Amino acid sequence: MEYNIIFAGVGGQGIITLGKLIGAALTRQNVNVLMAETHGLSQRGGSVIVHMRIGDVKSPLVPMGEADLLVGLELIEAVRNLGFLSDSGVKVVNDYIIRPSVPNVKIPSRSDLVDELHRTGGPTYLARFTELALELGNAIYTNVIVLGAITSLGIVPKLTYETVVDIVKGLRDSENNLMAFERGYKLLKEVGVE
Amino acid sequence: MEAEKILYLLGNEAIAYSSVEAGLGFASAYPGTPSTEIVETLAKLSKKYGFYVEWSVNEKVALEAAYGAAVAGVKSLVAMKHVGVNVAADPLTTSAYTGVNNSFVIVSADDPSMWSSQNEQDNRYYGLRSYIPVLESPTPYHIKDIVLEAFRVSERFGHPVLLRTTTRLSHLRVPYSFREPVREVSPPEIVRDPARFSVIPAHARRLRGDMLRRWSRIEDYFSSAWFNWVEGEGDKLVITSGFSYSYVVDALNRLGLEDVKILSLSGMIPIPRKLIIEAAKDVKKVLVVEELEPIVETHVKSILFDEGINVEVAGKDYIPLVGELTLDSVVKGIGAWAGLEVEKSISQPKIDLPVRPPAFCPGCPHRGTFFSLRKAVNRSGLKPIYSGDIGCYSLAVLPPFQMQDTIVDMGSSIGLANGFSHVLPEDHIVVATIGDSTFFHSGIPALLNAVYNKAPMLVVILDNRVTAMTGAQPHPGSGYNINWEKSVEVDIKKIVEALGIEYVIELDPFKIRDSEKIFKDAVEYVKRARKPAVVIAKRACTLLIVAWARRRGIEIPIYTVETEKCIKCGICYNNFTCPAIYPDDKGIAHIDPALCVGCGECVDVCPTKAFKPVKEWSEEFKSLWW
Ligand SMILES: Cc1ncc(C[n+]2csc(CCOP(=O)(O)OP(=O)(O)O)c2C)c(N)n1
Ligand code: SF4
Repeated sequence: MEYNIIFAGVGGQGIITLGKLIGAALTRQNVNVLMAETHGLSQRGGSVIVHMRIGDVKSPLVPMGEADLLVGLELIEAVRNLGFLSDSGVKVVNDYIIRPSVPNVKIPSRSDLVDELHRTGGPTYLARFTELALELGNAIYTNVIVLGAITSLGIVPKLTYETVVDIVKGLRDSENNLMAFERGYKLLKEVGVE
Repeated sequence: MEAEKILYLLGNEAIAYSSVEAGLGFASAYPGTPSTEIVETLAKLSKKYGFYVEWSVNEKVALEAAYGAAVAGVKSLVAMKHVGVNVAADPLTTSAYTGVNNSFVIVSADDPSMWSSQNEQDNRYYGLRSYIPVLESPTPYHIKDIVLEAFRVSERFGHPVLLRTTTRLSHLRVPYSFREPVREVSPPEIVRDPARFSVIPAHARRLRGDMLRRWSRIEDYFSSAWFNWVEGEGDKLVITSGFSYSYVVDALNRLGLEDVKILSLSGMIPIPRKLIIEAAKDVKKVLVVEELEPIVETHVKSILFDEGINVEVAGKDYIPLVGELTLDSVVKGIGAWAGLEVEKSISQPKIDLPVRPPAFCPGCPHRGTFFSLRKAVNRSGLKPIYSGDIGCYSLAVLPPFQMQDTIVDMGSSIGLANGFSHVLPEDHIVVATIGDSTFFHSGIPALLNAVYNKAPMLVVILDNRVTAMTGAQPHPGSGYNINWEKSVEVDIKKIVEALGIEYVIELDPFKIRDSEKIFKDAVEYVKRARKPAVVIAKRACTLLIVAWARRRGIEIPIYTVETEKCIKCGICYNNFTCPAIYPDDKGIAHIDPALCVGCGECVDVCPTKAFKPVKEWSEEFKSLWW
């Protein structure tokens, strides 16, 4: 068994924490899971990606074209990393754009980005995770809502509702995080595949 | 005996936990990506397991401190990023001459691909040129075994050991089984032995001979130790160095190549000569797969030539010299070497995507400092040269600021300015910008030099109270020790005055207008007096303060734009570039509430005062800034 995930987003969005929670849940299930992170400089608002490889592997980087799942916390970054996705790879993407802090930067329109998403790989689940997080009181809940959504899809081997809930319960501010998780868990059933 | 516990750890955390299992008694470091979390984790474990940990002021001091502990018979570890070893190279080199009285493990965290560094030097060379053995984990799952081995080898031979890790290995996460250590703590005893530890020339000449004899015993050991092994069978041989083994195993599986044997060298320095001869003597061809420099490759070629073994040895012809290895690059390299076609087509986006370089965080004090500094310098009519340095403020190299004309190494801002200021004509102004942690690390001698030699320059010390770039570690100016317990708070202004600087003034970067005036006066002083002046821009790292506020449940303030006041000048989103401010289709500024942290710097930046608070600073929030 081998299952590859790419998480993409902008430094500060909590991507590493998201990966870490999934990794910790799988470790509890005795599944072997490697995760490669970007620390340091690029975390200051730059593009960040995290590689996760599940199964009997030794090297931590997902080869191009072999991700079974792409999790994008920001639209531009999701599109930037589509090259990692396999032909049938699933996309879970936050419908949210962060303008790069570059003078006079030109950014593509939302609809162009969404079209681009649909052009590659398998099904796309697009939802306004950050908006939901702000409704819960803080953008920092974005990643836990996404965690709920990923778990609800049942596509990551052995990533079960029970184990993830158990991990989320161990977090600081666990009450709100559990709420965020549950919100995400129900969400994709509401929005469906786009 | 307590059962083993399965934890999910970062490579660096695994190095820390393993060191505890090895019986560590002393650890020191200066932060630097990708090494920082090693000693950060040790700090968290230090109380429970009873050992000493510190942030030292720079790598040389850190290495000397750990070396001293090992001379006193305590198992010690020092960790640093690869370029930190340059700073510590002097004592490092001589430590191999004297050896130590217990384990002395130097962790060098190299950064292939330069994810957060100025170069990608390969520190296996330090082992080679200093007679210090080098160990590197072959897989994510061997970290513990290799760390334990590093401590064992060091203790057994009474010799320093360099444990090499890389960004990939340090910053991957892997299941780790932790076994509670059984600690026997016997008080250390110092054996005063100047014939061994005082390297006057007469002693050093003898010590060099001793060192070389130890070296050859270590080489013998490396040829038979468990961590260097041969696996598989075939008439082709792939030799790996450290972590490249992982890529090779995964690549061979993918390629379905079965007639290949692997010689995995986790202890590659000293080069295990006998093992290499044994493995290569009856194969048809050899490929060395190693990250960065062809160190093992060069040695293999020379050894086989010496032995008259006539076999084709390849390496950098197939494996990239630049950047870190990836499974893709190793599959491609081995494939080509074995005569297999491996090409894959990757879908490229059909639309242009903007690059997203890192930027100052929302609310970063550095943004305010550079904004007001730029205005003051531009208005002075002088031609600036901005001698920059390493830290978060390096980000001012990018637009819109472009105020880091040189960045070389920690402390180089004032260092290079010492040259600029004596050779550039008087219509120039030399501006050195240096962070507080960098100032303590290596800025002080450079500034002393400027005073002594009357070098006209404006030195801006960006005092955000911590070492921010590496994740906000405390330093001597913070007033806290590694565990954030109250310690001595060293006053930068007093140091600067004591060095003999006559013009020194502090400012608050959040107050843009006031700061501009202060910079203007300081520039005039340098021009008039032809001496160095120092401005200390003092305001804590916002990222840290916001993290503290979140953790303590303190509400974070937020600002908004009175859009009817916005004249679409773009200063806030194009010249100031706060990430929380973005223009709509018409060019009117807005604030993203998910990103704003309410610093209020934008208030002074906007010509029409269009920014106003939605949630004000609470007393609690104010009290977090120190
Ligand atoms: C010799 C060396 N050691 C460590 C580092 C890693 N490093 C990069 S910047 C920095 C210090 C930054 O602190 P400071 O000067 O206070 O600036 P800040 O990031 O807080 O703005 C460190 C330790 C390095 N680049 N070189
Ligand atoms: S970490 Fe701190 S100093 Fe660095 S860019 Fe962010 S706010 Fe500024």
